[in-house]
Amino acid sequence: MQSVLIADDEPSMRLLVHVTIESDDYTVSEAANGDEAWEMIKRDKPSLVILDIQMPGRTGLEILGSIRSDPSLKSTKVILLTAKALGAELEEGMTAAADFFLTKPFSPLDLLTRVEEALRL
Amino acid sequence: MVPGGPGADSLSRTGLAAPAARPPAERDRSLRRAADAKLLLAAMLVESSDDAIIGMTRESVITTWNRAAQRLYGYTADEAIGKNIAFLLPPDRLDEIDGVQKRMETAEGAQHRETKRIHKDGRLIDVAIAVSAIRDLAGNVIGISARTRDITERKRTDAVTAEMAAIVDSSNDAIIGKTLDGIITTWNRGAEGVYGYTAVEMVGKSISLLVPKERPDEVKEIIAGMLAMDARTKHFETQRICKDGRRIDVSLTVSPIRDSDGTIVGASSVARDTTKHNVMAAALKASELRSVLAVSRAKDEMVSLVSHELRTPLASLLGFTELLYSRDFSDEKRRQYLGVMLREGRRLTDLINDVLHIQRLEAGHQTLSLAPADLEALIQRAVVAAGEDVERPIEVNSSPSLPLVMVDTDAILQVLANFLSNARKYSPDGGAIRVSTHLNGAMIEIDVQDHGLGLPEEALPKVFATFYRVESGDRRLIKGTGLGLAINRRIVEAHGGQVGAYSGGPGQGSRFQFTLPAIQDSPKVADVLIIEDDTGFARMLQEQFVARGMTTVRTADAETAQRLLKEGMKPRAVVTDLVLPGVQGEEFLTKLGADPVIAAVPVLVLTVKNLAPAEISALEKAGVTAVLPKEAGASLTAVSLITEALVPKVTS
Repeated sequence: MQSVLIADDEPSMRLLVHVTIESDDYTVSEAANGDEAWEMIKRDKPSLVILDIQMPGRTGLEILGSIRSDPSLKSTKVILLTAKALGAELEEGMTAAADFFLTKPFSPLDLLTRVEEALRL
Repeated sequence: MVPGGPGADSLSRTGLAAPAARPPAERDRSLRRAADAKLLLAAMLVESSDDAIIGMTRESVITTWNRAAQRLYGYTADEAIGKNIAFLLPPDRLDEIDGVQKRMETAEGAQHRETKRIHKDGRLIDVAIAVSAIRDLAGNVIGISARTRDITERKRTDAVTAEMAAIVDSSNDAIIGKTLDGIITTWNRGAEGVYGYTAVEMVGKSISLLVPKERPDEVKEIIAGMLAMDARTKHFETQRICKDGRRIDVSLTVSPIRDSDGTIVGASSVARDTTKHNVMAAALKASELRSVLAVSRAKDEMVSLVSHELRTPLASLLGFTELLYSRDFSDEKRRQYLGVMLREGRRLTDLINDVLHIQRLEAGHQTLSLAPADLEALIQRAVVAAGEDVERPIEVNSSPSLPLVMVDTDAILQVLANFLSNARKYSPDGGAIRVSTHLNGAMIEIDVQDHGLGLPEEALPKVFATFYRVESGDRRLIKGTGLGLAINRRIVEAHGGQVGAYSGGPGQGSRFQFTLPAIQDSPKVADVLIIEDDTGFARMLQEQFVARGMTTVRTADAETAQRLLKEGMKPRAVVTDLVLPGVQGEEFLTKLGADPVIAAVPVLVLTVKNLAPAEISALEKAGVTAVLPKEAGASLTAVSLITEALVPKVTS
């Protein structure tokens, strides 16, 4: 079965994303900071990671870079959630490296569509 | 007071004083002889006075007019007597007559004022007037006397002197007065600009401080040259040393200062900085540009931070709204999500309020409404507002008999609320929070100590910065805008105090301190004591009293008012609200009624409460003069009631 990891330091955001994408077709787990997220990614190799950019510990962008440079994670899909607080250039470059990116506030139904696309459901 | 008692009018027409009571005929005659002799002497003195002395009835009709009055105004006694004094007043000053008459009944001694009057030939003259009441033997006011002096010449000299001083002060040139020994006696603002020293630093010092070492005798030579020529020296070029050690080129002119006999008693010099400062100017421009850029960068950062901080709660709020709108959930889930939305909505509101608040503070738009306040009462109120938390109880350890502080109570309550809520927030495992105060010199220190997460050393200097948040695992779940402490710092600094953060390190708890200047002498004198927690309404009341020439002291709570009264304040009227923070108006008034000082003065209640007749009579029993509903126009009614009661006693 496919699996999705939600990495966000805001509990209310994790809850929102979790409720939005809950499905019998895949499992959903959560990480509350960047370091925890990276451990879980290496261990569980989730099919999709929904990554908040601004997190304590490793940032979402650092994790994205690590995923893209790790051959064992070649098939991992990434959806970036941004609150647009970074340099525009940096953000553009990194979002290009992601499969999708959504700006907060985002539409949950939109997110669900992206998730289903990423998992080819 | 007997305004216009029987016979007063007929007596005043003659301008003569006579006893109001009727003693036996014999005594009456001898008293009258003595009075006549006194009157004769008085009349001679009046006639020979250099000041214009004018006698009037209570209604300001002229009854006597001495020779000096004729010289001053140009009218003869025949022309003036019988007319109302109003013909001497410029039309825009006619209300002066009213003012004089109103105050006449109770004024002790003369009322003085400087004003303008009209001469017979139409020109305005500047005059100083002393007005006093003429009383009969029983003390009834039967007339008015006005002693008037021409101050046109003095006014003109004053104006010229002020103008000269202003010119000297506004000059960019350094204008310095000194004695013949070279001791500096005056130092204008231009001198501050050119040399960098302030007047306080330089007056009394020798001018040789400014002279380069290789020219030790220059000052002596300049002064000797000036004395020899008995006139102003020509421009000459030399050099001077500034406070910061810079050497500048100056063009100097020295003139003699003479006393009224013409003797030279000192020298004044005008120096212009002629240093080629193109390099300096360029550097200055660059640094100005840099600082403009820095400000705009800081603004950009602020905008970016704010937008990030706003987006996260907004994302939850909108996200859950959309989910609830498009899907069906169980009641339990729906309640859970609505709970999240409510929290995030509140967080968003807090954030917006904080951002706006900090903006106002930074732009200097937030004006503090300062009033004396009892710090202990404020702390108690903040503790009550913080609410119960059995795991994080707040203990207050106040040092006894602290002086009052001069603060904006709303702002300081917010500072306390922020510190208290932080202390609880960062104590996830509970623990008591201790608030303590003590006097340290002229400042009162307020400490908020918790037993929570503590702060790493490197965070201590940064915690008061805008949007700074300590990042560590145990804090991750604790929400905050990163603005609370930044707001506290600005508020405290605006009061002339300082903030500080202390911690033994992570796990060791934190101590936040702020200081406020103590009031050295609590105010003792005021016409009206106002107890009102609504700052806007209080300010309006104060302005209206002040406009009527009365002084006010306002407190935002009854506790502070009680402190002021205990410390010896004697107001001549009290205006109080009933709904107050802490001790309520009713309780305060009951205590107040027992105070003999207050029992004798008018006490007004302004309230939004709808009082039953029984409640009103209870208040009246407690010594309240009147109860007014707090609505549009109430302040005016209150002010005129108090004014009526007080104005005759208010001396200008």
